[in-house]
Amino acid sequence: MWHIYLPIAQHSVLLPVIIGLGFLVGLLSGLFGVGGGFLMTPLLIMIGIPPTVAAASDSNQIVAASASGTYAHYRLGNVDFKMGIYLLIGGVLGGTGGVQIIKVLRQLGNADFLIQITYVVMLGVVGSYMFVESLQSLRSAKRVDTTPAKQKQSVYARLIGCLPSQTRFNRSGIVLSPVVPLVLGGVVGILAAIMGVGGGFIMVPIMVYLLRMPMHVVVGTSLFQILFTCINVTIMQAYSNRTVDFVLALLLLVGSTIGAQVGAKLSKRLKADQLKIFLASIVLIVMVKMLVGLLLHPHFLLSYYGGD
Amino acid sequence: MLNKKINAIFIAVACILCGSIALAAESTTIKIIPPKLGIGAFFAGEDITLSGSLPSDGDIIIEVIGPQENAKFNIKGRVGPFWMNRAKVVLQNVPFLYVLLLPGEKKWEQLLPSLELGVQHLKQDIRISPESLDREIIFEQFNQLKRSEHLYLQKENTIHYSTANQGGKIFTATFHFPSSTAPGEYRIAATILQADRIVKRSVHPFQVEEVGVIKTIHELAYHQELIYGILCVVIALFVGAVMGLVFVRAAAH
Repeated sequence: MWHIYLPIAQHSVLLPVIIGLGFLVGLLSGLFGVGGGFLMTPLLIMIGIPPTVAAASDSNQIVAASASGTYAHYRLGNVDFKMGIYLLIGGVLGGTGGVQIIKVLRQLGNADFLIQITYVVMLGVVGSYMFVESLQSLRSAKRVDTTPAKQKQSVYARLIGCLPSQTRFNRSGIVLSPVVPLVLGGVVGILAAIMGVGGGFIMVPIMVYLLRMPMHVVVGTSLFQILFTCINVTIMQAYSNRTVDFVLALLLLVGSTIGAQVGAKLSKRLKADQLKIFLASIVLIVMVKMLVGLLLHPHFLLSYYGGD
Repeated sequence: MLNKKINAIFIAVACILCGSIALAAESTTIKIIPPKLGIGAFFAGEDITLSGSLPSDGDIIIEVIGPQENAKFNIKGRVGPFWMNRAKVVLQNVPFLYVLLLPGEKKWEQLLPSLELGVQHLKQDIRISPESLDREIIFEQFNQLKRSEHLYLQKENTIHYSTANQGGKIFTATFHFPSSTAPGEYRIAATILQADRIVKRSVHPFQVEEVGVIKTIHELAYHQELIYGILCVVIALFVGAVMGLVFVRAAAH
């Protein structure tokens, strides 16, 4: 009664477990503007879904969650389409380059090692930086400072200020050269291709700290960009690898679309620094889990090909 | 005189053996209920019942053997302080599932090697590639992984006997196909023993197949890949948009 069979994973699963997982990841998606692939794929593998099917089907469900989340944020005026398109173009170009890098690394061997170490380092750096910065920001907000501080422009700010074709991004309220989001989108694309994820958890900190976009616009714009990335990944995986399990994706997306809406509403009630601390905590927990997995003796020395 | 006696003994023994084999041969038909397994949308594993008749002094061992496959694995090893995938290994000609159903009353661990049955015996037929890898370690790890998925099992006391009306005995056994059962051509092998020796072995094909909507989705995914991928995206977008509208309207009221 509560079981459902997945035709591509060739595995029977409990209905409430899959819908519950979808809701959890949808909630994160709506709250933080991340696709949640970095969390969902390991959870699906833990309940017995083959890794390749887990990753591909997760992309499919993120299409629905990010479509639903993008729409909700669009209604709230939180999507900077202009910025999103620049990031997307950079992401597609970077992703294509990243796939080629992975091909070369696989031929040289040790690609898996590089992928996992990249994960741990990126998650550790991004999570720690966000956590410390948000904590400091929350503390300083409590102190009442009446004297306006003279802020010295950083080297980075001066550098991007010198770039050509400075354009105003109205929704984000910033002036930037399109070169910046194109290059940063490209860097995220390369990393996402190497790590095999949508890249939301790297893109969000980049938008906040390097593009200086307001947190609520970051979430909506990130979801917009993720939507297109995951459409591309779903079609490619279905066509090349036949690993998209539509039944699994449908069950996940029933939970995730509801979760995304709840998350979008919650994100409005929380302060930007609180949101950042929550996301930083999740990123750090995943990093620690991965690091422990790399250091402890595995239960089985064999794992199915294509797995972790 | 002595030669005649020896010949007579040989003939008598041969007659007894032939009689036993004939009796066994007549009674190895296994009734399998249901005759095939359908994997539908709500499949959560399913029981099959096996039954038949045996000579009164016979025993039966039943093997449920899944489709043969070439299984590919990563092997983890240490790189400095880290456990990483270090190599790939292919186990050729391995059954996806192997379950051995045994009656009680015997010390099967001692008997199975001489009968060339059981999980450990599979090792002889499996080719491991690359061959430079330690066969014993790889097979043991493979066996452990399969056991953890309930796909490789040896179950004692799972075949039960009762007395038949016309002499001999009747066996019954129930096997639960796990929820991770893959479709394909399975085999159910029945081995009849008398005095701890194999007197008859018969193999019955058993089909496990996808049915209904599961079959339709599988065929679409494997034969119309691009259409399937686009459909997945379109339906996901539709569901996402509908859910978005539902929430907007709910918030408006």
